[in-house]
Amino acid sequence: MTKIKAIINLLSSLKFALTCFVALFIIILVGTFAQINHGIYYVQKVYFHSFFIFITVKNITIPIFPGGALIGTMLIINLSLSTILKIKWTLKKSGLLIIHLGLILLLLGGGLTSCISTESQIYLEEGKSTFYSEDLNLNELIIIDSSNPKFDKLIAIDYKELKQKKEIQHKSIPFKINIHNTFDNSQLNITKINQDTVVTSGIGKSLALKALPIFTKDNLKNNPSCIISFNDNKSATYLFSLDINGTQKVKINTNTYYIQLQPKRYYFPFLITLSKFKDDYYQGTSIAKSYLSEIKITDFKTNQVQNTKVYMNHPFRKELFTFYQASFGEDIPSSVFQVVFNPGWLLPYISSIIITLGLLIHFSIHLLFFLKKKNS
Amino acid sequence: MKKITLLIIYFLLSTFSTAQSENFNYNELGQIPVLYNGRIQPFDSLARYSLLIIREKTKVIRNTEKITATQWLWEVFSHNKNIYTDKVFLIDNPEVQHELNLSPNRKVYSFNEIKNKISLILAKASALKDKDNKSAYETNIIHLGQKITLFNILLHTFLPFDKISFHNYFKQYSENIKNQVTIFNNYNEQGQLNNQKEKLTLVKFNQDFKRHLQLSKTSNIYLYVFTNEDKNIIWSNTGEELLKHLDYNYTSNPLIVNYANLNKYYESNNINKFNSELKSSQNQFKKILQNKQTLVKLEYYFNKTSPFIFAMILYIAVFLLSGIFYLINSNILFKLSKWICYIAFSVHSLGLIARMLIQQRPPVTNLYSSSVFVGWVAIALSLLQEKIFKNKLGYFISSILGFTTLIIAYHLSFQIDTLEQMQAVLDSNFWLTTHVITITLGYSGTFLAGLIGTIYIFKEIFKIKSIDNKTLYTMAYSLICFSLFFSFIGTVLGGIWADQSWGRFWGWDPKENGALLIVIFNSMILHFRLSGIFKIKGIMIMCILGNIVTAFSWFGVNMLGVGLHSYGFMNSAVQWLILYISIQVVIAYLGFNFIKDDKFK
Repeated sequence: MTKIKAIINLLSSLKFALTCFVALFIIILVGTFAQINHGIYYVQKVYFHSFFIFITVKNITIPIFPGGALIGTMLIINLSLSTILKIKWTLKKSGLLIIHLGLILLLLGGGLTSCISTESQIYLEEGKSTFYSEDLNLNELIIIDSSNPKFDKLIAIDYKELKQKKEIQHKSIPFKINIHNTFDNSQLNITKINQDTVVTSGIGKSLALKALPIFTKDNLKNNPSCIISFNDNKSATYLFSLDINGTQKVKINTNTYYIQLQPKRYYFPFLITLSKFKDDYYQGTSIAKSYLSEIKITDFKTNQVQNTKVYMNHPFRKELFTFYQASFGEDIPSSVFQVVFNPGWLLPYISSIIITLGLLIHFSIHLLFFLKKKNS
Repeated sequence: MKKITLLIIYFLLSTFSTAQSENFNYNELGQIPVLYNGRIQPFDSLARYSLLIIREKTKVIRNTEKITATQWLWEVFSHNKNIYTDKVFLIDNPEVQHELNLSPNRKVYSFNEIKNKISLILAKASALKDKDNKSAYETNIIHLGQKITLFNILLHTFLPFDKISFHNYFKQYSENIKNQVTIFNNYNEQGQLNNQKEKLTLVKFNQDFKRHLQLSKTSNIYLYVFTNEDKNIIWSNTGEELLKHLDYNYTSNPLIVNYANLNKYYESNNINKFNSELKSSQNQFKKILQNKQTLVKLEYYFNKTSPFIFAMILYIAVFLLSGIFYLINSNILFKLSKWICYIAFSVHSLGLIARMLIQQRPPVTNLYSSSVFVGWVAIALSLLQEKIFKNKLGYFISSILGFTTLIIAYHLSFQIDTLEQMQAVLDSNFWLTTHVITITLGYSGTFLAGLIGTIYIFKEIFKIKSIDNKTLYTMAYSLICFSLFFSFIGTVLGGIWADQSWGRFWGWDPKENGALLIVIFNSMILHFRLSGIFKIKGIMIMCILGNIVTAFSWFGVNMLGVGLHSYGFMNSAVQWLILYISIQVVIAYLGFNFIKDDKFK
């Protein structure tokens, strides 16, 4: 019992809070400098969204420092415990209490966002439409069952899952997927000589695969690949890779399936059409004054049509999806939208208001005391 | 006091003194509106900006005479023979000097001295442009390429070539164009020409057309303004104006006639006619631009008085006066430093207000103005603290803050047009006001706290008893609270802006991280204080280290050259940042090693 008490005492202590601060300060600094050599996606994964930061020395991977997720969790624990146990719930401390409550909410919101929010993009030319966006980093294996004449059945399995498992039995397909190998990044070359590859069927038979270390810069795209067989380990093996455009026809049991590895897609319950893209520059310069996309939204359920504009600092929100003007095509009038799905997007707003209020109350109380003391 | 005021009034008047009717009215010329770099500005601004790029100074010395930027630019426009021998090209890299066969005991050279190597330099510069890790020589070649390109553009503002003066060219062109168009139309309809003379006319017509078309596409200096049918104000360059004459019924824009006349009177040294022609062109601008012209004039006077440089000099005076005051403890010196400090601060403030009016923007729009503003806020805070605590430090501290931030701004002004237009993502006065201002308030607070920490350290080392430790501590503590509050709000507002424009509240971008570091560091100080781990000395040392955090967040992350805040990027001055950080480390170390901690908590 005393041990538990001691632990709680430690976790709620100021010293523990300061330790967390120092650790946070260090990883932010390191994570900032890391961006000179690595892309933001990689840095976030390694430093800020991780529980530990690892280094690999001679093939042994060891954790050397707590990651952002762990420090965040510790801070939430520390804040909650200290708010309940250490800070006196008096009027004088009311500002402090509000600040800490706001901070807990902010950190929880941050954790939630990093777990469930997704970021993806759409590239649309003028006049074209789409109902999904594509992730820039995550990929999925899709299996299309076209045996039903009325509709296609589409099964998507995350690449992450392929990487983690040896075999997958999906409830919607009547066969097992055996994963022989996965490569986070690879290069495909056309070769006539069949080297000692394990790929025995499909287009992969005539391709040579070279495993590459992953690219960590944002401007370089990884090409993940996997070698798979269906039903059991001994049947024909296929190569699926992001670089292989289009589906491969695979006969499994008596049915034919169309299979492909592609960027992970997020589907909207509406259709988005780019009506017009406009860019405007200050006269005689290459400084952009504005980018603007006129879009048309057609709801699948109600068939309602909505015309709206997306431009810098003015995103469009619909059903937890938010569309931002991110970029544009150089040659043809076209637009790139960043699509964010973040159910918790309001949390930072709410918590920031709470903290600001708390800071205001706290410092006002302090100032009042100071002035009182000075006058007397 | 009165004497000082009189002196200042005299100073201001002497800079404005324009009553020189026997000379070309360059002051009036300097106020002529021009559209360059996407914004309407006085001729003088374009001239200064161009000279800053080419000469890296805003004046030209011809023989022994000082030539203003405006005069120089006008002479460049009108192909005056002097401009080819004016020493305006700053080339200080020995390797580049050697390559151009220039004598190494100078730094500035004339156009004629480098003209034979121009195509070589331009070819090299364009080949090197996208290279990573450039050497000093390569960077200098690229800079020289930019200087030559700009000079070329300026030289060809009126004419695409320099064999004939503009007024003659324009006169001949506008007289002949109707005839030429008629011949051209006849030829198009009938497919043949009547005689050899018409053939030659058509060839000339063709050549002119091509030249004007090219000029209209390449020149980014827009001198002529008009209102179109929709009542919109449209600017055009000389090429576009000349092309418009292809319309048979077109009457020339009065402004191009003005410019041609100005060119003529300047060449014939007809001062009176030149000056009255200037007046008439100003009236023409007034008709179209109306109130906007007032802002152009304001910018001209802003350039002319350079309030920030003036304030900087005054801050130096304050620094010296209060320094001597600490040595000899003379009350008059203190009062004097106080009043000069207030004057400097007023000039500083007026400069900021003028900038805001000219640009129609909040005070901070780029790195340059952030420096001016950070200094201004820190000084305001310091003056306020002097009012409250009265420990005779406020003016001394203000002078240090004023001088350093304004000298930083002065050096940053070499890299850019300081009143430049905002990129699309920044084009929001609301967010510029809220997010950018609050963030910079946070910077100001930490820098002031750091300076107080520094004063504490030196005071303790030199055992100066006249300043109370407790007061210094209270001052630093209140500033930490101040900057925690504003950097937190600034960071959050930044998050909200990012959520509105990029789709995420927080993305671990270097600039965001920098802001967060300040917030964490300030709250660390407050918690260290609360825990009792650090007493006065510890807190003061942390305040000094806070300077490093803030400098890193303000300038350091911009030097990394990565992330989404690319509009603030800079790649020079790394050595200055390192020097600054080293100084702070040394001061902190001195404090850590040589001061016994105070018992007071």
